[in-house]
Amino acid sequence: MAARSLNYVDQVDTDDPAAAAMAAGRTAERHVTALYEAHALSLARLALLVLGDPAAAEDVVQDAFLGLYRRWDRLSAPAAALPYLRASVLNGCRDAMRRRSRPGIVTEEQPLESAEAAVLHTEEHRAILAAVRRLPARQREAVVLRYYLDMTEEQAAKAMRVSRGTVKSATSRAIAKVGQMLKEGS
Amino acid sequence: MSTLEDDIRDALRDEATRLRGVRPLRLQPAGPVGRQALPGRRQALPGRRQALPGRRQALPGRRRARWLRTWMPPLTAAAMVVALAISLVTAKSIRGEGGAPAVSPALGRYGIPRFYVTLPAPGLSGQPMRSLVVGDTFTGAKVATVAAPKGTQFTGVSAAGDGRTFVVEAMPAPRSAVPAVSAVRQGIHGPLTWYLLRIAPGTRAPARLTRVPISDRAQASPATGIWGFALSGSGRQLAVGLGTGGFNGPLALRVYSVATGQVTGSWPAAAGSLTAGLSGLTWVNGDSAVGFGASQPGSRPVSGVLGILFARVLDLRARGGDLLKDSRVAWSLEAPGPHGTWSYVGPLLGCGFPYLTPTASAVVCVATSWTNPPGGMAATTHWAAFPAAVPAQGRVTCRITFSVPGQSKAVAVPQIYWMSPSGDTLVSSDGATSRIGIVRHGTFTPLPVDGANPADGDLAL
Repeated sequence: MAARSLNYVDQVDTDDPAAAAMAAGRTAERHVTALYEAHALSLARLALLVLGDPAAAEDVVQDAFLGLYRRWDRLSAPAAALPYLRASVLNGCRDAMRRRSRPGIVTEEQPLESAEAAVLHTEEHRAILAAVRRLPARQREAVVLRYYLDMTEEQAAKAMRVSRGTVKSATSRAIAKVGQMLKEGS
Repeated sequence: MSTLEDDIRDALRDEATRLRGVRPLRLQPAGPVGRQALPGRRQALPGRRQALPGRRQALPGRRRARWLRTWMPPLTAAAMVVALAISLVTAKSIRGEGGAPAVSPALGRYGIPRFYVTLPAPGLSGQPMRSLVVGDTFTGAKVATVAAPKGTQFTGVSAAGDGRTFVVEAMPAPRSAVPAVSAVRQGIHGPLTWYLLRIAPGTRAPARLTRVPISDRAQASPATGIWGFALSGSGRQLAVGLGTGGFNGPLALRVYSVATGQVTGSWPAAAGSLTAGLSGLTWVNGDSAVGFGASQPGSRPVSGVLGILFARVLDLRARGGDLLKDSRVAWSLEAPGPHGTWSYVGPLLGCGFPYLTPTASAVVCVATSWTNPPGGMAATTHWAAFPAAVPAQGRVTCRITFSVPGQSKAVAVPQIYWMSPSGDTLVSSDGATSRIGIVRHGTFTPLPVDGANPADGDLAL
């Protein structure tokens, strides 16, 4: 659906710059809205896994789409929109984590697990999630991209804008650390 | 065998399902929009939180006690209301919302799922189906082979349609050589077990099988047969058509939560009320309703055997516990009288049960007819579509004919494995060979799918 709507082109009166600008705005809005409908939830889930806070995750995703909307006319191709959004969400998560750890700003409390989540999570999953949340940001991103989105090392490297080797080492360190934390916890 | 990576994957997917939706997108007018405004909005929250402890610190001694006396009753009442709301959400989750985690779907051309699962036919030897194969629908590449858990054999598979999530039916491996799928249909199986199969190509565990904890006495009886089953589009619910006593015996449609294995609804139909079992199970309108095909005794026979053939829709909110009373007819067909000339009955002859499309707007079916020219057989397969609102406007959407030299009897029954929401695109077998293909705009385009022999094997995508 989203891909189909990306092919839509407005009928624009090219002699009138104001009309052309308005039509371009409408086109961007339509495309970005279609992308939001198709991908917002999965991107918000990605952000949730990195940040651990649903409200902050939604904020990051809203920001990413707003950024895309503002830069729509500079996008090289419609197909570049999703990779741009993914990278933008990861950037947003890093910013949010930096803000949390900045001195002078009160850190938000770790959100309590809802009753619904408590039912879904087994004891083992809870321990794993807690361990993943304690990983350094880059390692956590690598783990989420590799194991939640099933990205290859190369795809994850593109999304994180780092080298493939970095993804590989971050992932293996993360796995080792999670294993260690689980061992210490048991 | 579970590795730490697999456990992390499962934990992340479970955690991701906490988020069930996002608020609507609010695009601000073009121009210098409030990019600075957004961080401000986020920072406002910690500020508000900060203010509360400050106020509490300013209430020492007696004032604090008075504050507590004043505010404790309403705060307690509010807490109870919140607790009740949480428990209701939890109960809802247990009833049917939990289960297979949602991951991004893997879809290809025309929205056809990228991966399929097949239970390779054991052939006429009737060897048990001890493994399943996951393949790429469009390239034919084999993604994984999964062995059946010890002591069992696979007997059927159904797909959520996202290319990622499947449910596999298994039963104890037989001592004698009986084709498994046939055995289940005849009601001579042992206790059934169900497994959720998740596909993640390109990872260390491209296919993971986990037990669905269904423990239902109705399925354990040796007299019970499974007419069919269908996994919902979200992968969270499983609809199963159960029957005892053959075609005319009592039937029931049961829905299970994939997460908990609990029966979330059961709709029985009295013996004799339906004359040809219960089949063609499909999910319509998302996870909210199940479509099924069946037939009732009628004044005029269709195809010489059936009375009124119909497709019905059961709204899962109906809790009456009666399959016929709780479902509505979405489409029906009664044979014409002796002088009737309904042109669309022709292709329907030999059709299996009608399949309702996911939007319940139409019914599709497929049938193969055979002739015996010298030296082999000739077959014609018809795919037909009938608008639910006007069954009389049914039409043949695709027709293929082919000859099968050296073959003297039909060995395959055509099947529809996937359909688009409107039903204009199908993935189906051709009815004469093991070919699987896309049926669209009057053409059959073969796919490189390793087709199961539909008589014994099974396939889902």
